[in-house]
Order: sequence, then C-alpha cells, then structure tokens
Amino acid sequence: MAQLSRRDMLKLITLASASLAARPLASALKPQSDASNPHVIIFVFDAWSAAHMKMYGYPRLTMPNLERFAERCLVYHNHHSSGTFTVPGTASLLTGLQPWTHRAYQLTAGGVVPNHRSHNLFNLTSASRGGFGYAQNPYADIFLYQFAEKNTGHAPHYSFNINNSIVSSTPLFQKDYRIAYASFENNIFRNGKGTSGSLYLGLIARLAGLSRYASLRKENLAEYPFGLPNAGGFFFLDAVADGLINAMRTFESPTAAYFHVFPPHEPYAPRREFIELFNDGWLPVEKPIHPLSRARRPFDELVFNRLRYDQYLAAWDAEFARVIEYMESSGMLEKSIVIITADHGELFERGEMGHNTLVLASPIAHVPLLISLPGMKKRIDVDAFTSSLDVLPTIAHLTGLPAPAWGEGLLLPELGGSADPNRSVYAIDAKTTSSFSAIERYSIAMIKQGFRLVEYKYPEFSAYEFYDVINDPQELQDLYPRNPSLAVKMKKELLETIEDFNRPYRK
Amino acid sequence: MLTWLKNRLPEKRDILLALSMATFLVFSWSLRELFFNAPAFLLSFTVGNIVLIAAYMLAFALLESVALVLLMLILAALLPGALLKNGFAYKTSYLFIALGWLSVYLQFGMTNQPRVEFLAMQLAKFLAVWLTAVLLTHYLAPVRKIALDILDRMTIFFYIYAPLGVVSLVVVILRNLW
Repeated sequence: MAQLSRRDMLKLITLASASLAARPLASALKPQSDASNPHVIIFVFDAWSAAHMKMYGYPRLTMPNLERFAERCLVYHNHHSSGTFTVPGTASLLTGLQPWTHRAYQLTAGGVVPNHRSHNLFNLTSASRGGFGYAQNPYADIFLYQFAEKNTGHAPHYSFNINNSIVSSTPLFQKDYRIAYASFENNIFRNGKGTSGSLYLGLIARLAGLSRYASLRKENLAEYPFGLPNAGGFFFLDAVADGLINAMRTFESPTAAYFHVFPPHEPYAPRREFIELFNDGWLPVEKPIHPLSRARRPFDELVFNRLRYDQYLAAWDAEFARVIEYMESSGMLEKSIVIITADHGELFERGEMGHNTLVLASPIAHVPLLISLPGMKKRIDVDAFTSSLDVLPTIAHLTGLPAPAWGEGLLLPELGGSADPNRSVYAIDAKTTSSFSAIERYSIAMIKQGFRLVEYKYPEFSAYEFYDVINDPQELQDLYPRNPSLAVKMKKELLETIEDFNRPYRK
Repeated sequence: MLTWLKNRLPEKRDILLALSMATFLVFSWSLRELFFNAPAFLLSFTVGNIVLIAAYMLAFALLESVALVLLMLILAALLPGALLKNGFAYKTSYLFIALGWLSVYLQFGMTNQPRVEFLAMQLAKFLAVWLTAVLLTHYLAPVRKIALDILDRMTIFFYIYAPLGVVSLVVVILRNLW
C-alpha cells in the first residue's frame, strides 16, 4: 500500500473536519419535527385484546402505566382490527385496505397483491416524512420488506432479540426476503412446526435450537420462570423497550415510524416479579365450547392461560412505561402523533386459546386504540365503532396530506371524522381460502348500530350469530335464532358485501 | 500434498456413488416437503413464486448433499483406510440412509423437550442397523454385489437432480444480486 504523504494527510484531516462540521449543518437543513410538523409514531402490540384492559371494562388492571398514559389520549372504545391474526391485521393497518382487497390473509409470506404494494403508510407520508419500520413478528416484517421502497429506515425483526433463528433474514437474502422466508421458514427449516425440507440439517438445526433454548431458559430462570419470550429468536422485554427508545433517538427530521412489538403474543413469558399478580380469585364467565373450536380446551386451562397473558401484559406495560417516559422527558411526545394499537386480539373462551382459530369471538378483533396528539392534556373517550382501516386516512388528515385515494377507511371521530351508527365495520378470517379466488370459506363479523353479526361459512359448519355488543359485551346471548329485523337487514348487507368483493374473482 | 490426498481419498467412482445416494435422499425428501406444502402455498403465491420457492429448496438440497459428502471425504481422509475409505460407497450410503431414516423418525416423533437419553438411544439403534448392514456387505460378496449394483443405478438420480440443483442455485444467486 502506498504511504500517505504529509500533504495527503492534511487533506484527509481537512476533509474529516469538514464532514464533521457538515453533519449538524445537514441536520439543520432538514425540517425539524415540532407540534406543527410532528412525527407519526405507531406502536403495535401483537395479539393485544381490548377485552383485557381495565379502561375497556376488564376487572384486572393489567397495564397501569398505559392507562395513565391514556389520560392524555383519545381512547377509542369500539375499535376493531379487520384481521384476526398478524398477516391480515398488519396488512390492513399499513395499507388502510380490507383483507379482501389487499388479499394477504393466509398464514404464509404471500404479502399484499402487487397492485396494492405502493399503497402503504410509508408511501403516503414519504413527501413530508422519513420512514422507519420495525416489526418483531417476522410475518409482519414481511410487509416492511414489501414496502421498503419508501420505508427508508428498517430495523429487521431480530434487531432487539438475543438471537435470530430465521435464516431468510440474514443479509444474504435481503433482496428476496418474501420468497426466501417462504422457502426457509415455511419449508426448509420448520423448527418443529411440521417436518423440515432439509433432511439432515433440518433436524440438526432443530436440536441445536432446542438445546440453545434449554440453556437460555436455565440461565434466565430466575428472571423468566416460565421461559423466555420468543419471536423467531429469544428476547428480553427490557431489550425491546431499549431498542424502541434507541431507534427514536435517531429521528432527526419528521418521521413516520411503525413499531410492531411481539408482546403480548404467546408464549406468555412474564418476568418473575409479575407472576404473583392477579391471583385474585376472579373467574371469567364460562362460555360454551364453540362448534368450530378445534382445540376444545377445558375452562380451567383457559383460565390458567388467561392469567399468564394478563401477567405478561403487566410485564410488558412496565417496560413500555420507559418508552413513554423517554418520549415525555425528551419532549418527543409534544412533537409526535402517537398511535398505540394492535394487529389483532387474543381469545381465552369457547374452547379456544390464542388467535389461531376460526372462531371470530369479539376479543379476537376488538383491539385498543389510543391516540396522543401534541399538546393534548386530557382524555377524550370515543364510543363510535371504528376500524383499523381508519388509521391511515386519519394520519393523512392529521399531517395535512390528502386522504389516500385507495383507502377504504374513514377519518376517526374527533380527528376529522364523525360517529356514524350506521357505519358497518368488518373483521374477517379467510385463512383457508386462496388469495386468487373468491372467498367462499370464511368467518366474518359485521358491526353496526351496536350489534355484531357473525357468519361462519365452512363445509363442516355454517351458521350466523347475532349479539348486542353494548348491552351484552360478553356475548352470552345469541339473538340470531329470534330473527330480529336488524339481523335480517345486516345479513342482507353482509351478503351483498361478500358478493361485491367476490364478484371480480368469480369465473 | 496432492499425492497424499489422492492416497487418502476414495476412488472417484465411490465418491460419485455416495453423492448419488446423498442427492437422491436429500432432493427426494425436499421435493416431498415442497409437494406437501404446495396446497398451502397455492393459496397465496403465484405459480411463478412457487417455482422460485422450489429453486431455493433445490439449491439448498444441492449444497446439503455436497456438504454431506465432503464431510464424509474429510472423515475418510482422516480415519484409517479400513474404516471408511475402503468400501466408501456403501458405507457412506448406508450411513446416509440410516441418518435420514433417523431424521424422519425424530421429526415426526420428537417432542419439544427431548431427553438426551432418548436421543442417544435412537442414534445408537440406527447406528447399530448401519453397522450390521456394513458388516453384511463387507463379508458377504453377493450382498456387496447387489448393494453396489443398486448404488450404480442410483447415479441416474444424480444426473437428474444435480443439474436441477445447479440451475436453482444460479436462480437464487441472481435473485439476491439484483
């Protein structure tokens, strides 16, 4: 290598000093975020049901810090995700489209259909804001890869994990993540979720993973007595909160950020100090096992897991409190629109646990929605029925952008929109149906005028259910057999909607 | 060095036979998995996407087969000739079959918290079967003839699978370069 002359050295020093001086200059030239040009920060908690929050009527105070934060937020009491698991829930939130429009509603890495790939949060806000995406759930991360064109900052799903067991997210496959994910994670290395396509390495990888888990579990038994949280890699709750804070520290100019964290998704892994919480003797109402329940779990098992979920919520709340505290103390809260919601809920009733189910009971789609605006001082409660599709047009409205032409949602009440009792809000589970054909097998819920009509349409079970959501929030009384006139009207509208979205796919 | 390596390594023909068995097992299992999952993939991936997924699988299968044989070659070079180098084709092929069988058995039947004793017992069982087969083939000429005849015919799979694997590997590389 040629030696540097004294002159070259001086040149280098001058250049280095100039570049250092230019950094603050460059950031000064960037538009700064303030109350009139705020950041948009979306926090999504995976599998977080409104049915487990005191502010929505749950008897346990699972998330005291968040409830305190809610005192300066718009609190939407009847907000619904349009999907019942991560893929459709996240896709709808990020695109503002119904699952039957974006067509991402299977448990695979299929993603949003090509004609809607440019219809997303990052594209919408790119003219005025930088973008940043982090989704700890690999299935949600697929969308961040899909929308990477305008999503200028992207922290991969494993960024705050202890390890990464997802082969496709190694830098080698960044350009073809969706196909690589389907190939490796859904095929070559199944890690116990079926047989692996790799005859020898599949087993070795599985054994190595189990051995690693056993040793990590042992090491952290004192802190995590029920095992470590796991999202395609193990993680500590505090590390995720630290990761979020550190990511926000990098926001120099106005940014549209999407943070999708895995807790409280199963495995429910509360830290030790939370495992004694809620031993209060309270029992939820026992509901009959649903005909579509495949697991048919006994009531005791559901009660036990509900308790773990509640404890896990409390554990995550304690960590997330630090994120809120950072935003408050750094002044970020006063120059940000903060949206906290979920991609879908979680179920502990009717024989089902979790969200991998066809049973479309209310807790699986009824999710929290809190919105904090710069300068907001007191809580505003909104009872109108709203949808996850409404978040995107509302962001556009709040940031002075025109509503996205493609959007299927409405402006949220109190944020430019108004409550409309005649509005129909939908949630659908169509995971057994092809993206390329009419949706003929589904669970679909339609909410209107405070009532919820559910249609199940499967070869083994077809039925309607009809509930008074306001007077019977536990949905104990199925009113459909009484044939009320509203149910008849809603059924007609529901069938017309289904026919409308299926028409283009019928031969 | 080259002469030493040449003396330590098995005959080319033996290596080809071992590679044929490895590709047959690895690729066939991989394709079985792909066809098993195809109905689910058809729900959300286009046929083009599924062909690409197949390319990833076949490329990986090629690398896995080659890695497996390379590992055996290293062992053959390091161990005394009588242990692995002599009769390399049938010894490694039997080992691939035994370990493949063990893998399938464990993938279907293993819990999330397998006991080490259980795993060791299964491994011992399959190695015992392998050793019995190796001894029978070594000492009984007719068995050896049948085994080598069968292995000879397995090379057809190598000639089918290997080019598929190479093309797939090129596709995967190209997809991740641009």
